[in-house]
Amino acid sequence: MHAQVLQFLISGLTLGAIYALIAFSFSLVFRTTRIMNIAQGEFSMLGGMIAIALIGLALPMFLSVPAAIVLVGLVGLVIERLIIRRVRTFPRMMVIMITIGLSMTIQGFAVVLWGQDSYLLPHLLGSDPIQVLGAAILPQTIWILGISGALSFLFWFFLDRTMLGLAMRASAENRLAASLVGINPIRVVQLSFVFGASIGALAGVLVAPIVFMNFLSGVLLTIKGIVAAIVGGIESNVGAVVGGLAVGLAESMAAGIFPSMYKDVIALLILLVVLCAMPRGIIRGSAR
Amino acid sequence: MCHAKGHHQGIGKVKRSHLIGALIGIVFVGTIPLFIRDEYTLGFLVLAGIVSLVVTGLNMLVGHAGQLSLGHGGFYAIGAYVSTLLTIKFGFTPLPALIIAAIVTGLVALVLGIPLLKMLTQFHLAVATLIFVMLINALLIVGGPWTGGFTGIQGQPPFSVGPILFEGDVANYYLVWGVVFLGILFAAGLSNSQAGRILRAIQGDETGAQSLGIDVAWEKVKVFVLSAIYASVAGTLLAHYTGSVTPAQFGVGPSLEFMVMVFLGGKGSVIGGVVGGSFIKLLPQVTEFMKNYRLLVDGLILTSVLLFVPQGIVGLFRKIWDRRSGGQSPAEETSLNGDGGHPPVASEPVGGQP
Repeated sequence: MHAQVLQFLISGLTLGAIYALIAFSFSLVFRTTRIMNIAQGEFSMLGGMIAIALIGLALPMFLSVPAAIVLVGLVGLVIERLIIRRVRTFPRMMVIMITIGLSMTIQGFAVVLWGQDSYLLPHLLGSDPIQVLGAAILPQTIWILGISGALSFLFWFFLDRTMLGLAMRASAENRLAASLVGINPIRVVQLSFVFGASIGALAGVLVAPIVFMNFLSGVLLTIKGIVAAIVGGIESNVGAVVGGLAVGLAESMAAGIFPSMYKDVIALLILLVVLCAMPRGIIRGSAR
Repeated sequence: MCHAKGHHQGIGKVKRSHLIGALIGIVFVGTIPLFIRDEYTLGFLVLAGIVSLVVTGLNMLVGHAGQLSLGHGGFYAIGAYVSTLLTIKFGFTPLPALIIAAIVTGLVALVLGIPLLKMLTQFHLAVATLIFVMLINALLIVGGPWTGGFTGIQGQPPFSVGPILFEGDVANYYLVWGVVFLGILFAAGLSNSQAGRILRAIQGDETGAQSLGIDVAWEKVKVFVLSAIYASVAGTLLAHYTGSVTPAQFGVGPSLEFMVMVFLGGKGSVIGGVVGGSFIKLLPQVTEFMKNYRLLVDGLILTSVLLFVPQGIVGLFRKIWDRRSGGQSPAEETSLNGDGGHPPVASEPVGGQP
């Protein structure tokens, strides 16, 4: 019994870490551009699919994964350049719809390139589970938890302790004031968009060995990341982590309690109820 | 804001050009089956009518109440499945089944709409409706004998009203487009009524509308429910026309495509739904050979329409028409820009507090 609970806890934390990364990339883009990007999860799908495709081309894992992340970062750069920069003065509804258009376009490219089939990425390092206190842990789980933990720390350090990070936060707080003290807000937006896309891609690469990827995988990752970001508090730094872990744990606990055929129904129901019940999240950001 | 300003042309009074346009439209749509005898094409036109009905309803929500729904496929599904169950399992005739399905859908939309529209932003509603359609889809798949799982349910009787049976493509063509016509009339009536002006006031300036004593949230919930009912009726018509429903017809893809149709046709335009719906629905006729490109084409259409022709096809034609006929008052000029396009000045910050 204990082992089973531990098992659900571990799988919840694993999924939660992935959602936290996507939530973080979403709130990073939101805080610097005020754009709620519904295409954010598509970067994860793209990251996973590109890594799978590169390995299919017989590229080794240690090259494919970084290459996928860099390529998706470039996609983010192009999107920022071509679209995000132009829509700054558009009404909010139009901007939300444009990100939906982007999301469909990215999915459309994925269908054209890779068809409608689902694929798995090979595990980063071995796929034999390790037994811990009666629960089986995949090495991939350790990778996911380790990398996302390290990344959270790095980002906290970057945003809190480096000049560039401070510039990004300043620009997010007040664009005009930041530009008055010599911060280039366009550069900041560009940087946060490329970062956001790359973090999303990393989440996709990490999740691709445990969840099948196809051209539609991004939608589910997007809504889970967005709900995590909203629940955690979109303006706060730790919010994404808290929200992501909460969504992941809720999902895996529910999967443990209910018959497995209702897994999707329960997960979606939880997301909907949580979004309705806590539209402003648990952790409120800096007062505004 | 300029949204609210430009609609003081003829309350209750219909412009002559609109009347002529409507007449031409009715004659055109009404005589198509006389010229097109090929069943395949006619079938596509029936389906185009059905989605046009969904999009006309959705356009009221988007254009008048300024709210986004990415989940109208869910309401479309409820309309189709409820009437299917009532007719096949409980022996109802299609007309009462259509009405009951519409009531059920309305109630679901009410339950969903109250918490969502009362406290959340456009973005919350967009995400929540996206989750809603995925939830409905997941339910249809695990529904076992009630919904038939992945393969759905087949064998719905053709639609009938009393002794009149709508069997075959021509009969369904007139049935569907007749309902679309009623839907447009109702939407136009709403748009010109006090309710329509209240909605536009909300879209123009929500706080301002509230300070005039308008119950903003409740007005939005009403339109949300109404647009869901349009989708439900369309779903029922679809089920009884094709005699088959499967979950895949009502998923995220179709729901997003409805929004593409709204913006392509012209947000806030009464006939925009029909224009956008028919355009997209008839598109695969031309591009059937490249089925895998469908999603890409949809996405590119949506993105480029929003970036370059934000007023949609109808708005574009109206602009060209007015420029050619010339001699318009400055007030009307504002209304044209405000109707579907962006306000000329960036008066509203992008994004917002969740």
